[in-house]
Amino acid sequence: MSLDWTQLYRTIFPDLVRFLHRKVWDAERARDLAQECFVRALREEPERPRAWLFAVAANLARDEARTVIRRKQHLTLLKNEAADAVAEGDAADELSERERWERVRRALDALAERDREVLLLWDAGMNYKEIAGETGLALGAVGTTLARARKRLVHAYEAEERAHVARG
Amino acid sequence: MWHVAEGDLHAYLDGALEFYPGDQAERIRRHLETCDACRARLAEEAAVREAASGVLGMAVPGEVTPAPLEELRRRAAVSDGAGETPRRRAVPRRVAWAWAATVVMALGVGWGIGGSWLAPLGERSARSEVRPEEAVSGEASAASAERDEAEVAVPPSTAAPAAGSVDDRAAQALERARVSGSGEPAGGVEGGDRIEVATLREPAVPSQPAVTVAAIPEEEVAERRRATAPETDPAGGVGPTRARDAFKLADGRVVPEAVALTGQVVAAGSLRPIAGVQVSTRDGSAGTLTNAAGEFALRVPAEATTLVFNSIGYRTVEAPIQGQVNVELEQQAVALEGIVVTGAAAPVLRTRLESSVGRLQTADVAAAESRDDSGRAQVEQESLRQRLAPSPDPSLEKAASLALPGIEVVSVEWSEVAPGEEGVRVVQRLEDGTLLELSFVGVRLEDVDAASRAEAGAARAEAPAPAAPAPAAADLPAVPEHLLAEALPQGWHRVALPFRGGWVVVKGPLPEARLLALVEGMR
Repeated sequence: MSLDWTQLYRTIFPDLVRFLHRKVWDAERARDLAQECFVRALREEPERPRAWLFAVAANLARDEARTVIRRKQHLTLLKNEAADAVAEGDAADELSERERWERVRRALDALAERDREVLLLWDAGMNYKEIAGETGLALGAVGTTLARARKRLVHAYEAEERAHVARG
Repeated sequence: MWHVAEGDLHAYLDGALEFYPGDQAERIRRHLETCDACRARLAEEAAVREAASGVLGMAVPGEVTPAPLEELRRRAAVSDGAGETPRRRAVPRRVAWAWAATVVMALGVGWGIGGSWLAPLGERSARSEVRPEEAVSGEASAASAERDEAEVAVPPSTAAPAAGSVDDRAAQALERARVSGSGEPAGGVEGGDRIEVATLREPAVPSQPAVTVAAIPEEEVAERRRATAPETDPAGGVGPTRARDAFKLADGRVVPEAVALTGQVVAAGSLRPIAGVQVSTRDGSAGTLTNAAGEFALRVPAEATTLVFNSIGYRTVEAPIQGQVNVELEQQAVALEGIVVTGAAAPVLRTRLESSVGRLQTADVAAAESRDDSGRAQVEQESLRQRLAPSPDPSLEKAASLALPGIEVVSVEWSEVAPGEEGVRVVQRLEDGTLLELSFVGVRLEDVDAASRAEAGAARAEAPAPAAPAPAAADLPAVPEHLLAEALPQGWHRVALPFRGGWVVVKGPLPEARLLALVEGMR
């Protein structure tokens, strides 16, 4: 079976980057990982490329998270430097965007692993059936999980905002 | 009285009920129609759903440009078969791809340099303007050089300021040709025609009546000039007035009507303009190239229906002719598929064939010296001498051919390859710098030459030579333990196989499967 990889690449790549970005929080890194997914897919020629790609992406992001935890201290330092550099310029928008990202990130971190996974897969454009296949959840449990994940995300984000207002 | 579960409300909102088995979806829908409480809850959940999407939407990455798919294909091909499939020879393939990439890069650079180097040259010869013909051909080569350059996908920003569009330059050349050739009309006419060869790929038609050939291209050039460089040189259109709608075909026919087209060509995805794209009617009756902004202006005969867009590195696209033709081209790595370079490096013998010194065991010396019997001592001395002398060339030369083909040979020597066991040790370096050590024990070197290597199958069937320790009853004789006694560094593996009546032991910092695959190719 030969797949139209050009087409797949064009349609799935943005979703994949979006998905990975919520996991690694670095657009460049998300792009690299998404490309790595496609490199592997081109090699394996999976029958269901979309599900396959997201499964690989989830694995890569997980591996990434492990190494990132080790490097976290270092990264945080670097990020702060970068943030300072931006603050020195007049890029107030940039800063608030960074702040917004950070809040979303913390809100997502407040979710249980599985809830977050399901939410991000949905957000990356997968349907319930694909999510069920990907996570091993029963089809009927996807909606329940999503409902819970959405509520928690919204609450966590609101809490972040309140904290932000209180701070400053 | 049941109510719709929260999760099912979300499934409903997410359009996922279709996946529910049986009549579940239908029951949920019907219930929602009648139950006010559930409808109220549905509205709440919808708000939550929206809010969550909003939160996630706040953290989208900026625009991320994916690498060309071809690059990923290349990467996929390069790392293919690295470990999973031991039978495949990963190394030579890697070499071939690396070479191919290098060659393509070299070609690309060559084109780029050639283009930018030729263009000023053409300009110089055009300016010196000795004869109209020279000027024209100089300019034409500049134009075609620039086209080459554009086809290698030099970013428009770098290609653009160097010179105006091809058409523009052609128009200027035509102007010059006509000015300098004014004394002799025939030269001017021919020059004008030549320009058309460069830009429109028309065959030269010297026998055409001067008025037809000279006039129409000029008209057309002036037209295009207005389109591509509207702000410069308003005098460009000045000339003998002609029927505006006359159009000359590539075969010299003149058709009365022409349609003026403009458009732009951009890359699919990035939407960046592509310079130097060949734009032509399908029958080749008219054509031009896009300028640095990817724009083109073209007059085509009224009968033409389709434009063809052609550029190296992009898929050819056809588009119906309308007033404004805007096209997206998809990338395609023509160059990589078109040029396949395969190479197998001949074993580089950086051996000590001439100068190497065999290893001398202290015990041997002691043994030799202890002999009183002069005859025996003579023999011992002889054997010592042999071992101290530059290694016996013929056998080591043969031994060198034991090396894995296509992989750099670092050294070949006769030495103690295992405790108490002497043999040929070959050290080879893989492309990535990994060193492999191959030890051959009890291998009959006289068998080893190009001919016998070819019939490796037969050799495999051979029984181990008597020199080798007693083989096990099984098909594959057990590897003598002393060959495996040596401790290996961390991360190293060792594979031992019967080979030519003896044994080959391969050691290296690679998985066993890789080592096996490498040796497998040799046997």
